[in-house]
Amino acid sequence: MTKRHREWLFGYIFIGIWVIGFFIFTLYPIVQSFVFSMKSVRITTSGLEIIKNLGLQNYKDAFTYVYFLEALWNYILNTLITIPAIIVFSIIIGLLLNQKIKFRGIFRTIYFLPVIISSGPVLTKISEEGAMSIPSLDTNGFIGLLQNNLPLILADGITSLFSKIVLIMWFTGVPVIIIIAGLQKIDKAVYEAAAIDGASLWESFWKLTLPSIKPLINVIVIFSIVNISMFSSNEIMKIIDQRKLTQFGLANAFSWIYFLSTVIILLGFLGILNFNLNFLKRKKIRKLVKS
Amino acid sequence: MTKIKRGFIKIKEWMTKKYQSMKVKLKWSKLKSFVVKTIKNKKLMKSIFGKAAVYILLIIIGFIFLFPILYMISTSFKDINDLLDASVIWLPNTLYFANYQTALIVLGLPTKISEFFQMNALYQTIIVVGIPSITATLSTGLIGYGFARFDFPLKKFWLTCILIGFIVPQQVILLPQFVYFNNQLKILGTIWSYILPAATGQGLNAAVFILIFYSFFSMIPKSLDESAYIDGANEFKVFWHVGIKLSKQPIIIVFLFNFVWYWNDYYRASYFLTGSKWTTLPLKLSRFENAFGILVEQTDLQTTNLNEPLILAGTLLTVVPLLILYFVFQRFFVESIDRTGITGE
Repeated sequence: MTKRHREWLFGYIFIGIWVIGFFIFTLYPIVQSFVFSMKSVRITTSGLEIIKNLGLQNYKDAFTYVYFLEALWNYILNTLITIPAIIVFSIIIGLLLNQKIKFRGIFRTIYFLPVIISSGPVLTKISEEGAMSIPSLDTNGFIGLLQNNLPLILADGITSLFSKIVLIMWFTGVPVIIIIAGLQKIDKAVYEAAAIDGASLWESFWKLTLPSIKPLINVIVIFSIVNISMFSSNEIMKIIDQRKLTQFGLANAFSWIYFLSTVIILLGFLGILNFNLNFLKRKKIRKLVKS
Repeated sequence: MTKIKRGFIKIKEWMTKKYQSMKVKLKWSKLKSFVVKTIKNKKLMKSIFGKAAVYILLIIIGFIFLFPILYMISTSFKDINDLLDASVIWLPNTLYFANYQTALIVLGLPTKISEFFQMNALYQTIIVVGIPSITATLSTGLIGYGFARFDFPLKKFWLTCILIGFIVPQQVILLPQFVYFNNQLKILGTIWSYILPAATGQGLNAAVFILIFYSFFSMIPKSLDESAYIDGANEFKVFWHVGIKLSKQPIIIVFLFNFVWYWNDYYRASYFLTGSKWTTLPLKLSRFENAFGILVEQTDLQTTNLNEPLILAGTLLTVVPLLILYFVFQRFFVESIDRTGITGE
């Protein structure tokens, strides 16, 4: 056995457990879920009973199901509002915490606290009892002011943003830590050099800080979308949960539609973030060069 | 006596002298010039205002973060009069502990010292959450080590599979798992439905943990194990010395995160543990209202109304163990993450 083959062997010994698990506990359920979503299935005490093949009928049913469509639409809107807010807030908080300040440890502890305690039931209970919206925002007529003076869609977006501000903040725990880790890796000398060249703080943020933490923003987007989509106070999850025992096939179709919409949102965000303006510029230059 | 008197006079003289010299020092004109100087010094003022702005922002954001928790704590101690009294906002007139007593009973937690040694919901949760956390930590460590230290065919492919497995929403996987754990494997309702996926690196957020270990082990120079191989160690020995002994910190971090995330994962618990003898506190909390109703029918409690303070007391109780864990191991949660490279390059 050569050294290379030995490395192959031991590599697979170490990750073999994962490969087996991937087939049994991840891939097999995914495939099965897809198969079930095409069938009419009933769960009985003796086991699964497949009644008949439905083809795409379950999906058609899902798209005529008003409750589900409404929940899905709410989820998509919610994610589209929440994710940019999470990115902005986590960058702001990360920049603030990265400064030389006193009590940094205490602030970090407070900002990370929600990650520890936020589970579905806890958050549901808290928001049901009205602890999630800050009362002074509602009573001061601030939201009414917005609704009167802005176009309806914009006003709705902003009001829902403000009503969810605590919830959004609570999702920034891990992203903030990722941002701080990224900020600490940037060499301080670069900033000094920029300052000597006459760059203001604002300029060096856009030209230095942001480009160097950009890969981390991708990580944050992936993590946050997965985190939100797994969240059990989510309305779609409840709909799927309720049909788990009675309409198993339909529940699987729901979860596949949900999965695909999550992936589309994810790809959309990653596409926008990594859309390279230079690419267009280069094309123009190429055209100019050719002509 | 005279000696003492003389001493007093001396002290008096000394004090008056000091006072006068201080008076000279504290002349208003001097103070004024000092203030003017600082205001005119633009750089200094900028830094002072900048610092103040940073602190004010941090405190405001901190308040937004803490608001729900503070609200929860203050409300959970209110009795019915305080709850209805609009003038009571933060501090209740009396600390009303009966909410907690009722919530403890509803959640199945011990109310007397003698009940501490019996099995209760807290111990069950710790078992249901703790054992999978340990197995998941070990397995993800092994897998992360394999990916980081060895080169083998299809490595990139498997790494992409890990990421894909992370993105797939839980219920796509949990729905069929729920069925075939019940029918084929017969492990539904037992703790094995948690342990088996965890032991094969397919547990909750396992992809994140594998990537943490992967980037941590990639940081350790390879020359370290090469010298060990020359000395005649085999791969497992190297794993023991490099993988386990050098990486206590990431192991603790991964374990803590596993514990917290498994604890908070109500969804998995509601699928695998419903109707079995096992339970977790968040699962109990989600059925708080029902459990309270049953309890009221069976026994006659002092408080028979399910109100806001009671529910919030129950919520707080399910969170307290995690808070204790967090404040004890806070250093690991917050600070060491930058060192293990969760940033995932």
